[in-house]
Amino acid sequence: MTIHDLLAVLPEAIVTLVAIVVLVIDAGVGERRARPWLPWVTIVGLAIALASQSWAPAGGTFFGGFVVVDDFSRFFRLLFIVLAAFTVLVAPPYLRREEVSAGEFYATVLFSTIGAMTIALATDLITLFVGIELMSIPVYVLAGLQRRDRYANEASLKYFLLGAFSTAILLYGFAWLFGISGSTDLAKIAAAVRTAGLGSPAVVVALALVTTGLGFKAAVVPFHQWTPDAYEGAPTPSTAFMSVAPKAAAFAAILRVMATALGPIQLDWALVFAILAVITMTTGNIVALVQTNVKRMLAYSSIAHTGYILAAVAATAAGASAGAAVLFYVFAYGIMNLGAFACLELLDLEGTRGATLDELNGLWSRHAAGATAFTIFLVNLTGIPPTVGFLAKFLVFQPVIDAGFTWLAVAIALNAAAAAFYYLRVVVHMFMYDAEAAAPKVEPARVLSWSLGIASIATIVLGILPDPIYSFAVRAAGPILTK
Amino acid sequence: MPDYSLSYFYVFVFFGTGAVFVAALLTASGLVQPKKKTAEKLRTYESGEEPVGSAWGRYPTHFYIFALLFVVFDVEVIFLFPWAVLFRTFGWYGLVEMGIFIFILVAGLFYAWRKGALTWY
Amino acid sequence: MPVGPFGLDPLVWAIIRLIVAVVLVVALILNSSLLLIYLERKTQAIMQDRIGPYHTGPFGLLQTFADALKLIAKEDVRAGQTDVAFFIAAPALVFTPMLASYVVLPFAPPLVGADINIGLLYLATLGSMGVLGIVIAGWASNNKYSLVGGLRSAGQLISYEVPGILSLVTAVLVVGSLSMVKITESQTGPITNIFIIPLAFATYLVSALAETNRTPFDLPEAESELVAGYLTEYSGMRWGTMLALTEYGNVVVVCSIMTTLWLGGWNGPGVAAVPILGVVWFTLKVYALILVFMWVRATLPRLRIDQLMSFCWKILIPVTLLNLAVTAVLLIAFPTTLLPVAIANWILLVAFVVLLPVLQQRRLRHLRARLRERTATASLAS
Repeated sequence: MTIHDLLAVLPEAIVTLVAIVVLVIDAGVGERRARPWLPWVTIVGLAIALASQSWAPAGGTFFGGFVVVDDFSRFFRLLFIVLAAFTVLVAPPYLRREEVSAGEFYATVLFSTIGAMTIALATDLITLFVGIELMSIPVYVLAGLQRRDRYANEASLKYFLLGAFSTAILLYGFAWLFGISGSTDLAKIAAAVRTAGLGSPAVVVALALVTTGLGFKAAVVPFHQWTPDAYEGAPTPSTAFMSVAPKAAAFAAILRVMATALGPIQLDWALVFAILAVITMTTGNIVALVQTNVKRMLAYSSIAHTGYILAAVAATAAGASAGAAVLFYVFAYGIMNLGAFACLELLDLEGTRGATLDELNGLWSRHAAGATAFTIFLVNLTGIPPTVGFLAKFLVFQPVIDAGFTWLAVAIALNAAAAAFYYLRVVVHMFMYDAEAAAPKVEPARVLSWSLGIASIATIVLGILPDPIYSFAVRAAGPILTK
Repeated sequence: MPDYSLSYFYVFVFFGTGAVFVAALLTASGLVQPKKKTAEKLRTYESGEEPVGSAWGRYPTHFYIFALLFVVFDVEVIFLFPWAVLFRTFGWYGLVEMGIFIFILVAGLFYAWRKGALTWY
Repeated sequence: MPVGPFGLDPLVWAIIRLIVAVVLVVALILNSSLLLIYLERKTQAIMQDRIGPYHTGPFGLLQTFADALKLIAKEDVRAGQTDVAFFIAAPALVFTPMLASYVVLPFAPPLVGADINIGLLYLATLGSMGVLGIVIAGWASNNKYSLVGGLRSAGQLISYEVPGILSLVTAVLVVGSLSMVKITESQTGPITNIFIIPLAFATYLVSALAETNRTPFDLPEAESELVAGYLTEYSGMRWGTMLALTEYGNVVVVCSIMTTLWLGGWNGPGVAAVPILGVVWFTLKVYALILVFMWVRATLPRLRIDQLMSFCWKILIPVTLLNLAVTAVLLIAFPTTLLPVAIANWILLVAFVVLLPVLQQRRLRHLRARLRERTATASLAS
């Protein structure tokens, strides 16, 4: 171990330092005085972390083969830092209103971000597992941060119990992988899996356990039951973060484990993943159709989106274009879903509850900018051009067809059409109906509105000019999917 | 080195001796002592008051917070011992590594302190 | 084939040696607790201007012996509400780790039970095992005093373990080994570790007082408030095992640790020529420290639980951490000499001793001002 190793993980180290600094400032100068400028400390710290990549060594494996820095990990570093920054920007009004402690919120988001970044760095099951735990445990805390709220407690406890359960399953799967290969290194596992093949029962057991464990983390049907309750009960800023970052991290882990370690039996698990993808997107969309609470509806819609991403994962036989589709979708999904949840923070609702459709009536006349931003995010989630959401779905089609899953492509198209119904119903409520007398108060939050505005415009700009992100995604998928 | 495992054999023997010694002592005492049980004698002693209810109730959570802090610091100590033996060979690098480790823990202690976890109500 | 001492097979010799060691240690514990209880009574009596035990035997020397016989012949009541298995197991659980600690104590060059290469870590581990038995005793008694005493004890013992072990680590930094024999052998000269790292010695002394439940840290068994705490329901020889044997045995253990780490262990004039002489020096040093413990008991009143905890977490742990950091940095910066470490440690010790009352007075003033404020507002409100 040398100083070279420490420099390689400089962004992660800086984020850790920022998290500690935020906690110490919060505890040191008192919450009331620290509250206004803690978000800015966090943002500046995240920016420095992102910029610090340029001082880091060019790439390669570090810490004796436990950590790899390649375009894949750089892509996810960028994604997670952007998501954390976005979360921190939109959170303050809600936190102040519900008296959630600010320092703990930012620090916990940062801790989770470190874990997510670690997952992307992993070339070893141990690093991967440490990353997954470091990402998950703060998220359980985030769900229950609004301590006095009954639903937040329920959300936190459910998420924690099922999360711990899934972690145990995942770890058991890792143990089987270790048993097959005698190594925790992903490349060595791949070699052992290649010789053993699917004929070995151990490989089948490991595959099943790992798929289940990672499926829990990504909220794949039938391992999704925690999702609606956890997303609905958690404080809205926490929901915004935990609906995107842990999911993105879960897909980073899925790509690392599935494409690298279990890559030799790709053809076999691809079919499983394709079937899971269809079930996931269909279930998510059908249940979302009947929701009246927008927060819960978005929770189910996030399950549906998991299905679309999973379809791209199933198509990894198509090569780097499938990997790029996953990465691009995860990026687009991160911004649009976080934005959609953040729009709910505009409304002053009691507790952690999300707005019902009726409470959104006439939002256009009461807060035009907010309604517009929300509409743009919903259009993104529907997948209508010229948004990044459309492009992300479009990019999934090609590899899926290339990989020979034509039926999967048909399922995606049908599902996207069905999803339009419940997304656009929200838009109808915001624009066509008159506000009710008892409509909730609208939060006059400048930073929140500006961030939502910039993010919503960014989704359109990226929809028209996707090249910077897409080419980055293609480069990032390279080390994973080209052998 | 045979002496090495023998040392730990001694340790096991001492543990066994401890248990056997206490058992023997108490048995010997049990053989010579009088045994006259009365209802008064068997009642829980509360300085002469009639005991109300059982003592098996809830714990104050303060013990819990101290226990958590202790676990954190005890784990730190487990890392400190091997480092302390070998730190001359690690030199400045080991010092910096351990410095980072202790810094994080001290930040945690500071946080707990300021948040009032160390105040006993 | 290797031949051990006295022409015996090494394995046979090892077993004989083991039996001798076990017998010696058990005898030592029994005798030293008898002796220490007598010593305790006498010193307390002298310091309080009394005579102390003098009827039984010459100078009352047989008094504790008589007490021990009485304890064995006394009925040990087990109240109806107790949790039987744990209640009976608790004395063994506190006694066994204490006994096992004696394996690694280096009494003299030829008199070491087993020279484990991680001896100090082993002692630290056993030190924290005793708390298990105490908590179990408090819980199993099903008595409110006992429960509070057991929990207090848990809080106190685990808290003070941290500064205690940090002080030990500081000493290990200087010595560079965890083996009790190697630690002793590293201090052959007159300059023992107490002159090099006096602050670590002071902090360990305070922690050791707390670890052994001695005044001023004897809250778990505070007679006047908790009716002997976790010992309330224990009587007869069960009580004797837990209090008389274990507590005094533990005092001997921590004093031996201090002797080994800071006072040079068995080293003293004449040991090089006659190794067995080491046992005399070792015992003398240990008893000197035990007398300090007794002196403290006669001098200081008992602390309050909140003072106890805040002293540990807010003063002792930061100080020991600082001391550890300073020692480590200076040892790396000046690898050839211990002089800078010694100078820094003495300065820190003086600063610690001088600043502590100042800080305490400032805190008290602050607290009194707040109290006045509160009473003022309260009287305004009424």
